[in-house]
Amino acid sequence: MTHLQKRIIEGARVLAILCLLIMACAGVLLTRNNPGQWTELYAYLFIIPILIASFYYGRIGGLSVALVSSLVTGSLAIGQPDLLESPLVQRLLFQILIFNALALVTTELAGRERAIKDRYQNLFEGLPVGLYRTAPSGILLEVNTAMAHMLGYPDRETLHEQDIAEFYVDPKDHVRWKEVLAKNGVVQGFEVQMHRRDSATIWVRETTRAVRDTEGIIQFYEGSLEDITGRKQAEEVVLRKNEELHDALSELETYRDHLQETVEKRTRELATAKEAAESADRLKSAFLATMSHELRTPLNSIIGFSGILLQELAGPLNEEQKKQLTMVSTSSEHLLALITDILDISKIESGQLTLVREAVDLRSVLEKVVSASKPLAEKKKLAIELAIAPEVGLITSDGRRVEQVLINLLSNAVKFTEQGYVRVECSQKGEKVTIRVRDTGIGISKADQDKLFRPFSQVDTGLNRQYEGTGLGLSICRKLVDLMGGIIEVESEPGAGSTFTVTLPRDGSVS
Amino acid sequence: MKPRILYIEDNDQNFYLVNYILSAKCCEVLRARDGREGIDLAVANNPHLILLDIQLPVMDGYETARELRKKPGLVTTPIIALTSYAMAGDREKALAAGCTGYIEKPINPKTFTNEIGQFLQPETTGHASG
Repeated sequence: MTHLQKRIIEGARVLAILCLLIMACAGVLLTRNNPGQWTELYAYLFIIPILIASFYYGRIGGLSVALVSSLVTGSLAIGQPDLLESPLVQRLLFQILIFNALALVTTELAGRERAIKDRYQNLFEGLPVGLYRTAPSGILLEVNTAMAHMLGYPDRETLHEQDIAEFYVDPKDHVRWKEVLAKNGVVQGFEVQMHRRDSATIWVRETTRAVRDTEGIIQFYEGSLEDITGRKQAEEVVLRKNEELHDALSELETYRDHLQETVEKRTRELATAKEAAESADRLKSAFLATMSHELRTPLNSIIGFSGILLQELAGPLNEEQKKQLTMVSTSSEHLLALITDILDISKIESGQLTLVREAVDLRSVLEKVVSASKPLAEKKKLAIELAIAPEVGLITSDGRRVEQVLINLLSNAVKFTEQGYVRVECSQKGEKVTIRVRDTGIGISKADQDKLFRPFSQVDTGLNRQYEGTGLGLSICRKLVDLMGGIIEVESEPGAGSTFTVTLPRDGSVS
Repeated sequence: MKPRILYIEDNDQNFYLVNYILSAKCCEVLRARDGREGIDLAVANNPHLILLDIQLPVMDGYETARELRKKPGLVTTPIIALTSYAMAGDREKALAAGCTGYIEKPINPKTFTNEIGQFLQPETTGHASG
């Protein structure tokens, strides 16, 4: 219903009431003052207001008018009893009765219709969803309070007459909305942003249908608005979080790819390095074997022939020749010892030295190395003592290597002792055997003891070596003892002699 | 009886040295320059002892030793590997190939004949280590 229509109806009501009053008063006055002039016309004039009143004011109106008419009729009857006899008056009264009955029925029907209207009005007003009706132009004809509040207006009347298009934040949305409506006659779940009166924006979900007349011409648009700002915000949060998650994931993937790449690169590098190391190792082994062979072959001739000549197998030598040939022989033997030691160290360091596990009679090994050192000791007038505890017997180790270590220690002891003695002691305690080589030689200072087991570190040597040797013996000893699972230690004081202690496991196959 | 010794060696100086020492000790020394020749000489002359260089052309000492051991007359003949190889396992490899002993080069001329003598049969020992 338009505003104008409502005004018209309102005016008609007022007019009807006025008519009613005028008619009623006129009827009463006319009947009382001029009973003779009662005519049918007055009666009809009297009835019309009753009908109007009953139509507009429902049951109460109808009944009150009926009451007035009854009173009038009653007063007529009191004033002019003979009038009731008149067939005309009787007919009029009958008609009034009929009209009254009709009025009652009409009033009842009108009341029901009003109740229905009220119910729908309540529904329209009471729903927490914004509802509206617009003219085809988009001008709002009717909205409910929920919609007014949704758009920030205090009441629904303030929204009337406004163009719905103006509420759309993006005019293109409105255009789209109109296109869909024109095409389908309905827009469902159209999600769009709208301005509020306070210039804030809200998200709404709009559903609209076109209402057409029988000829198909659009009369109104009716629709609903649902505030989905909360949901949209939540969705945005979810979207944002999703984006963040996605970003984080892609970052993670980048990292993973990078990591994978790095791992692959490192693996390749490692493989290359390993290959290089292995080939270097093979080269080293081949080099060592070749060096061993190539260095020893010429030495074979040097040592061999100088030896033969010194043995005078090829004829007698004079003293000078003997002296010089002895120098050749000694030097070449020294060179051979050096080569052998270097090869030993290289073999140990390149892991090519494999130890044998065998039963070793330590007692006979000790006796053998002591007797081998005797000639030189006797030359220097040194006593060599050997003391083996009775419990010492067989051990499991590499006999040749044990012998090599002991020969080295013993020859060192003899070499560095000018007077006094060299004493070898062997004892056994639990699972360990201990061999001590003690001398009364020059001794070693604390600082030098640290360097003692390093290669080429013959202590206290300037350009002229006082003592013969390769300087490799002790470092070989340490490496060999390590391999056999033992320990080699030194105790010494300069001028007071040295004691080298080798501790070996009785069962060297365990280590 | 003069001990007959076969020396399989490609290096002339090495042969000269050993030949000089052993000849001085009244040994008869035969020479082969490679494994194949050595096997032929060994089969033909049935020596009392064979000295075998390991680094030989064509067929190395290990293989030569294995081949020598297959010949019926040479199953118990002492074969001494004479090598300047001194790497881990060389001794074991030589012994596994059928050698009786192993002497590292360079040889010591003072002790060499004694080392050889240990491997000769009693009836020839007297001459060799004299």
